[in-house]
Amino acid sequence: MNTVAAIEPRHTAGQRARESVFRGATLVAAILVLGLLGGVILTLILGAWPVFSHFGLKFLTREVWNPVTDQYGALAPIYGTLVTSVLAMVFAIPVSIGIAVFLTELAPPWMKRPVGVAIELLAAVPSIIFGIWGLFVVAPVFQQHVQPFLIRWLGPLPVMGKLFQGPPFGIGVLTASFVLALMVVPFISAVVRDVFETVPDVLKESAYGLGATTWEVIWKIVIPHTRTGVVGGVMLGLGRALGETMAVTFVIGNAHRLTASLLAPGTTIAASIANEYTEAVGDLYTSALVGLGSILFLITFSVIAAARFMLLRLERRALSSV
Amino acid sequence: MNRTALTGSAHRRRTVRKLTNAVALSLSGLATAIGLFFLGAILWTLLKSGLSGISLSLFTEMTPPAGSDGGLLNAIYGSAVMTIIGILIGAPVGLLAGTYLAEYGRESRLSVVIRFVNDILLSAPSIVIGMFVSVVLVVHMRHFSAIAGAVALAVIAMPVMVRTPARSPCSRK
Repeated sequence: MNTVAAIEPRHTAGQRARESVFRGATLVAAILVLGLLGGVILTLILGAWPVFSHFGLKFLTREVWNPVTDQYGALAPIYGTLVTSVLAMVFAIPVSIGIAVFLTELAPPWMKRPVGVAIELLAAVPSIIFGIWGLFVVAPVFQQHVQPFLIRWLGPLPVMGKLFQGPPFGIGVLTASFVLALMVVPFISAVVRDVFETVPDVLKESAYGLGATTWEVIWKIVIPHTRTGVVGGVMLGLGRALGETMAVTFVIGNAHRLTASLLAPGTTIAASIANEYTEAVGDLYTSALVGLGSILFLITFSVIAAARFMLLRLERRALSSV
Repeated sequence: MNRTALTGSAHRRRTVRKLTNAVALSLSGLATAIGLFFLGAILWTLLKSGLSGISLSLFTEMTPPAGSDGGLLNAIYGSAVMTIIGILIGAPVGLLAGTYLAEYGRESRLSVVIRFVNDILLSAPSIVIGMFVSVVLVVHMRHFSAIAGAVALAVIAMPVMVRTPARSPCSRK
């Protein structure tokens, strides 16, 4: 009766008007986000149109890149992007999982926070600093110590030796992958640490109760339980590695060339765009670079979409098991 | 006889398991040490080569022609101005859209789509965003500008702000 009416909110006309204006504003902003992605995609398609209509799909499989004669092919940058990112993952995955295991299972409580924060700090280093550091510190060390060693011992091997031949330049695909690996380690280890913490204690305690060692608990309980989440974290890291620009541009050597050797200079999609976009003269040249950008966007889009999908599945499973 | 053989093999298995455990855990400690080492290496390089370059003139003078003295005032000023304009453009849109997702849209189909799209924008390579802004703004204005840079920064910063309100504990069901 009266009391019921009293607790029901009574909005004045002014309140209701303000509310609907605010609601409308938030809705417009939300739709703007949709429009923004639409705009990006549309711009890329329109910008890349000339190069694809000129060369057709062969643009993707040609190696030549010659602005003077207006001949463009995307194969070398695509190859460089994929190789540096995959190699970076090879370095980064074991280290990140190691860090996550250390932080969740091994570190004494007083150590967890400072070490975790320090690793996260690595993610806060601007990419240009990774680039400068890679060029002035990592590249000389690679040139004088790491690469001669690889050329001497792995170069003569059959098949695999092809990856480690040629002079030690210092800069090149291997150095870029190394710097990329360092950049994605904090991202992967943060995600992996978070999903490791979703494992119910009961499961771990049961395994310890049966006499399992810490490693057996991690390998047979924690990792199987969080497999999708770990894969999702790795894919997020991969997405970052694929699109990373400045650090790679500094250390990869920027050569539009396909070589089997990991020690040779190469290029990636992002590095090519960063180097050439502002200097590109002629419509076809610009269009070729925008074409490269669309390919990169397509690759990262697929990787990120797959990662989100996997993390979502893990989240749903965690909800249903509680 | 049989019994001692069994305990012998069980003993060996236990040793192997303990050894595997010790090796695996040491490797995970090593991984953490590697991460910390490289963080230290980067900071050390920065301090060693950077500290000597820091002086008052760095913040008060313009970038000199090669070979003479000067500072980085124009670069510092440029970073500050672009960041401020970028946030002024990106923050209202980002926070309003984030509020919509957290308070009005919640789990509706539109919100799910927007959240997904926002995640794509969040992880889009910055070089692609730069290209988009360049095609849309720089080409039409016919020159590079702080405004174009600020808009690019806004597009990069906005998805982070869209995501943040949705994470607050109150809006969780």
